[in-house]
Amino acid sequence: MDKVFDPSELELADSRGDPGRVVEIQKLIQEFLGANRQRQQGIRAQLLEQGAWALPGLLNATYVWMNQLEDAQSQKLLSSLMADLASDNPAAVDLLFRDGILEAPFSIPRSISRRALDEINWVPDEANSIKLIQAIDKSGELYHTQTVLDLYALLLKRGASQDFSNALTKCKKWARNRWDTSGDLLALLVKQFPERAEQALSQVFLAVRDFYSDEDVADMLLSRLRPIPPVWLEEGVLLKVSLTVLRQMTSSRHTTVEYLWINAARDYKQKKSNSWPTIMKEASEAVQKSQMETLYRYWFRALADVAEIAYIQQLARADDGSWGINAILQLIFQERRNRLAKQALQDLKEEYPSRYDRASSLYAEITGGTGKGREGTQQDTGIGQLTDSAE
Amino acid sequence: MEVFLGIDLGTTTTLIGRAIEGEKAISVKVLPIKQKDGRGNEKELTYLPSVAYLPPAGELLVGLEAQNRGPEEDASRYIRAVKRQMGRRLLLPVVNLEPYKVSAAYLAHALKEGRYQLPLADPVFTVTVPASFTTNQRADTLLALREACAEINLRYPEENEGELFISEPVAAMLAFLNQEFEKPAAVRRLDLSKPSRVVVYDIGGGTLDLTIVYVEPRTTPVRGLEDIDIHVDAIGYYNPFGGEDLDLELAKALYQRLLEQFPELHDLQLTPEQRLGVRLQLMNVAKSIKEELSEQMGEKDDDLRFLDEGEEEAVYFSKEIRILNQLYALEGEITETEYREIIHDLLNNSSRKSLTTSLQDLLKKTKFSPDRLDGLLVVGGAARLPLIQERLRNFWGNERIWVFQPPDHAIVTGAAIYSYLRRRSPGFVLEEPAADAYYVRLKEKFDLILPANAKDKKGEKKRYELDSEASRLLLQIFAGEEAEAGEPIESIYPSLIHQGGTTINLGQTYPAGTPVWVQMRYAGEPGTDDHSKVPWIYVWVGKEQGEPLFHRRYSDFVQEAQNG
Repeated sequence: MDKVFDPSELELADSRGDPGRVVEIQKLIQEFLGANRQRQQGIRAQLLEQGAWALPGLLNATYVWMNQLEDAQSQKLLSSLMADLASDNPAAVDLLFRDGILEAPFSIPRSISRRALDEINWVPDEANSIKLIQAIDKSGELYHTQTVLDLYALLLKRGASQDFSNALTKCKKWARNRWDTSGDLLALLVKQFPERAEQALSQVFLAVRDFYSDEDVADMLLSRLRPIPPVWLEEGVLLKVSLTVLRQMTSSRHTTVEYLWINAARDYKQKKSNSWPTIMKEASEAVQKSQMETLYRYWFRALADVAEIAYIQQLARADDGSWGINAILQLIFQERRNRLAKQALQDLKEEYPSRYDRASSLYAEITGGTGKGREGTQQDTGIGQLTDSAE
Repeated sequence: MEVFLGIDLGTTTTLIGRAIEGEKAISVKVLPIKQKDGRGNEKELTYLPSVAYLPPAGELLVGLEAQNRGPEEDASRYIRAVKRQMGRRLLLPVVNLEPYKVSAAYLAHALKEGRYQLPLADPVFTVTVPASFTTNQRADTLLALREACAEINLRYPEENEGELFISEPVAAMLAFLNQEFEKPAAVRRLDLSKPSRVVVYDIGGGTLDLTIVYVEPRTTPVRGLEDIDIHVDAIGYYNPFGGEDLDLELAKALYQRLLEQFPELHDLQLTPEQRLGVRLQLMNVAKSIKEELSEQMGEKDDDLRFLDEGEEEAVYFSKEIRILNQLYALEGEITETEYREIIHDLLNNSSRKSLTTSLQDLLKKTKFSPDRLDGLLVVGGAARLPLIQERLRNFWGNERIWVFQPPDHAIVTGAAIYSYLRRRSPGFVLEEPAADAYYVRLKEKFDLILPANAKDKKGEKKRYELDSEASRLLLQIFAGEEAEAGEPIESIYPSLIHQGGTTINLGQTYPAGTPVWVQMRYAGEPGTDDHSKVPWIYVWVGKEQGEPLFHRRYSDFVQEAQNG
């Protein structure tokens, strides 16, 4: 009963209802963006006092001042303000969703509203999900991928399987187009559906199988996944993804898979250094059991990358087969830049000359071939904005 | 036979008037409007309350019947002040109606009454809109009018669409000048043989509309309105502030009293619709208290003799407020002093929601002061309130302030007069600037695309470029004030409000740097049959000449939500 005079759905239908207030709030936001911290707090308090009545003005202000809102810090300040203004009022949350997301034509304002909705743990209900899906369905005709990404970020929160499949299809399409946003969407998918990470990663990696040696594509897909969740190493997700993908590759190689192992080892060792020795051992055993030579190489490369030269040496000593040879091969790759690797290689050469020779031949065979160079990734440039004429 | 009607489509009341030729001036009669009162009776009032009620099963009711039944039966389905929602892209909550459809119902009721009373006539009608109404709001009013005509089977004058409106302050000025012609020249408040500049202050139920009007004789001697030229010098910004805001403040105070009387209400959990229902009921009580207090203040001199020293007469109120199907008796008294305190901020503060801020802003913008103007004409329903008159007299500081009598008839009177003049005096022309200037959003800034007072009603054809390789173009329009001469465009940025826009399919991929020309102008292409005076927007890509790649009536264009 205490909220009888809070703004209702009618007052908060858009930013045009009370232009006078919108203008006053826009002036305050202009000042806020150039003010020192103390004054910013004063303005924040002033806006909070107005409650949800201030929200239309704040939303419109993000449209007007968006060029001053490119940095993450400013965006965060405004999104947290929006979240505070909207949190207790369903009509305000609806406005944030409608004007801030669905109808927002510009990406910076949309991103600020999305953060605000995240802050209040907003999850779309059935009706809002339908609106999001409709907007996504129109995406092919109208929107920049960044818009669609924002829409998915909200839609996937509800955890519906159908949304997962739909987003995965979109992600594969974007990845094939080499659009940067495919990495963002993949990250969203594995974050919202951790139990389906294996499926998401495998399918997207396979979608870019034609770019199997392209490091830029690997960066595009992996950079947003970091830090790689430790559970992927602990529960064998990485291994399953790798086997699924590499078995369907005619070249039996995929740089994205290789980089996934490297990044996983780096992130694990950094985040969970205590468990690392155990997981390293378990992963080694699992990879060895896979009987897949490409995977051996990726794992040894990952180990070398996290300075586990001694462990590689130990594995090389323990096996006379392809596993041990690939361990030596990795040390050959490392010898020029790593003094420890050079020493380990020297020792192995003396202890197991024939293994060393087989590894050397393999090295010559690999480095003699020519790999595909980098081709780069791109942003979706389908939608343009007007800019001043040079004339 | 032609009859000349004017309709004042107000936030709280809708009035219809008829103009006929008088002896010295045009004579206008405000027509009574028959309406059911919701209690089995039929009444005639000089106005139709601009309120509607959509019962859960039934048709939309308007006027007195809606006013009496809505708040009691289901306040969440009761609609008031819909004029404030015109031009907005929304459905009214619960009833799921677009605002213009509700306005159409008010217009249809008023026009039907006009037809009923004048069955054989061919009506020429004019509808009033606030001078500060934006294009979207005007376009919505046209839609309402079109729908109202269809509903009562009245021909919609397509060919005169652009003349169907008159802005409220200009209508008020016509009514005022018409009154002046009824008087002998010696006692007129304005010397009509000389140019004059007057601020029209129109405070209705929901909008405070300000206009500086310049009147000058076209010929001498000046015999009537047809011999006068009327120009609008300047328009204040759109300000949804009026009698409703006073009611809202009083309703808040009443709400506190209700909570004091029934503390258990603090713990009630209400849905947003139920909260809205309580608010509307309280506002209705507030409105009747305001009206009673106004009457009382107006009669103060007579009443004083019945009061002891120090004693102050109060308005007694008693009303049952329905909350979750329980009735709570709200009763008490409010004195003038208490009322003054409650609405103190609206009378005196410096935000846009006050009686004098927008007037001050308009004077500052136009560099006029009360001394350099010929007068302040005060009109509109809320101007009946003596407190408002008193505040304005204090602000204006001289005797040249005139309150039209009755203040809520000025606009309908002027509208009817305008209907008369545009048929009977073909030379009579009213040209009003638009309320807003329009801006296109470039990647790095805003650019003025259509000034409020565009020469020949056309914005310049502006050349831009695509910022990147693109097969689609994001075009977004904002409306706002215009920078003063010598001021940078950035000075008006805080006034810009997003109107809408679209993503244009370019049909092919163009490289970055491709030139794009954009133009906004008030007339559609010749032959498009668009007489609405709503601007159009045109876009050429790659080449400046020939058919534009995109052209659309602005009001349709902005209704397209980016993703909707």
